[in-house]
Amino acid sequence: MPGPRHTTTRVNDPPVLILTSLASGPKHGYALMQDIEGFAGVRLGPGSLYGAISRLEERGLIEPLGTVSRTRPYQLTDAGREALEAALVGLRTVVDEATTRLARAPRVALAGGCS
Amino acid sequence: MTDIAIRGLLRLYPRAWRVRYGDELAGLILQASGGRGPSMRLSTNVALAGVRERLRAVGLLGNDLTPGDRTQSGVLLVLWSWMLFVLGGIGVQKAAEHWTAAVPATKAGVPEVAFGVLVVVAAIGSVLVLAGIAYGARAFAPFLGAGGWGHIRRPIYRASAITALTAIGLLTLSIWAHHLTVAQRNGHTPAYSAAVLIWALLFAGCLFTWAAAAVSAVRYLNLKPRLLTIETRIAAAVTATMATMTIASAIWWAAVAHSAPWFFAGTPAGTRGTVAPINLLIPVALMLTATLLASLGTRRSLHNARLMA
Repeated sequence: MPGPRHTTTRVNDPPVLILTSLASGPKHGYALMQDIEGFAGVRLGPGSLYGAISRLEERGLIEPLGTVSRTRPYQLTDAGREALEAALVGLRTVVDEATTRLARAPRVALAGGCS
Repeated sequence: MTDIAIRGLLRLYPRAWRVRYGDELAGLILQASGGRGPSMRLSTNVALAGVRERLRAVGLLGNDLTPGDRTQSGVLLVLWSWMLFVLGGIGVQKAAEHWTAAVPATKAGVPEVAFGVLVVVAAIGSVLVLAGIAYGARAFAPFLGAGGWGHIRRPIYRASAITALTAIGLLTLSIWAHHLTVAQRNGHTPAYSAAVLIWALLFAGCLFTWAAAAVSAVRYLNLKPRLLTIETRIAAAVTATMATMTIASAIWWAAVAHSAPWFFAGTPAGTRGTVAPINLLIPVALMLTATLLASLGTRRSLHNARLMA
């Protein structure tokens, strides 16, 4: 996951959503789908979800638990936790910047066009 | 039925991916669809993700493979596209037969130039593709010397068998055609038309099995960056010839449609009819699709060739 200075992370990126969901504990695919829909309002399709899961596992950011089964849970690794923290720093930078700019900009100027 | 549908969707994924995640994804599809079988939306999501995984596996998407492998994949996509383009080009050539007789001499300038460009650039493109294959073949000698024939013999045998069938078919058709009139050769003998169609399919199979053989062979080769860079440049030039031919075909089509629209309908001069017959629409669509795919391949290989250096 890229660092905050050159981040392209979006709030609704499937990897970020999965890492965020797993931050509260291990979950299998269907539980991930429901949790993500609950906190982000994003319904990931099974294909998108498993595409992201396979990528995250390849990069060592998550790992499967237990034996192979149709409802195998995944958990965050230490690297995954660090990656999520880095992504959050990036997102927070944008949020803070937007908040600051909005606070400084008078409403009239926003409506009046570019400066 | 549900199991069959899910198995069909999983077939879209690469084998290695299926072995690792197939069961889990199947379970998730069942849960997400409430056991009723995948909906159209869910199926589309799973199918598109499968195609993405396949593209990733061959290096046409993402950064999972090395820049060298990604460059090679881009070049191979251009080769596949060229094969598709050739099929379209043959269709255009067939649909354009005797067009000069239909267009008034005073209005033949633009279509003549456009068709001339098409023919000349087709020759240049063919030479470039052959040069690319010949240059890449230099890496084969060490591979074959190291016992590589065993890995690639099956696709090469398959392509050789289809090529032999295609050659026999062409010879048979030529002998048959000698005993037919022009009208009989142009749709008035159903058996002959069916045989021509079968031969065209064989020819397409011939092109694609050789492309598949080349692709499967290249996967075993360790191509050096310099060779890949040169192949990338050749692929870019081939893509440029494809774009030029597609534009030339479109100009020729528009010019003939303007000056002799009866040519496309096959009706007497001066009459009106369709200027977009299916036997021209499909080949031009193939050419356009192939050009777009080749552009994607070239973009991929040029970008990654820079990373390789």
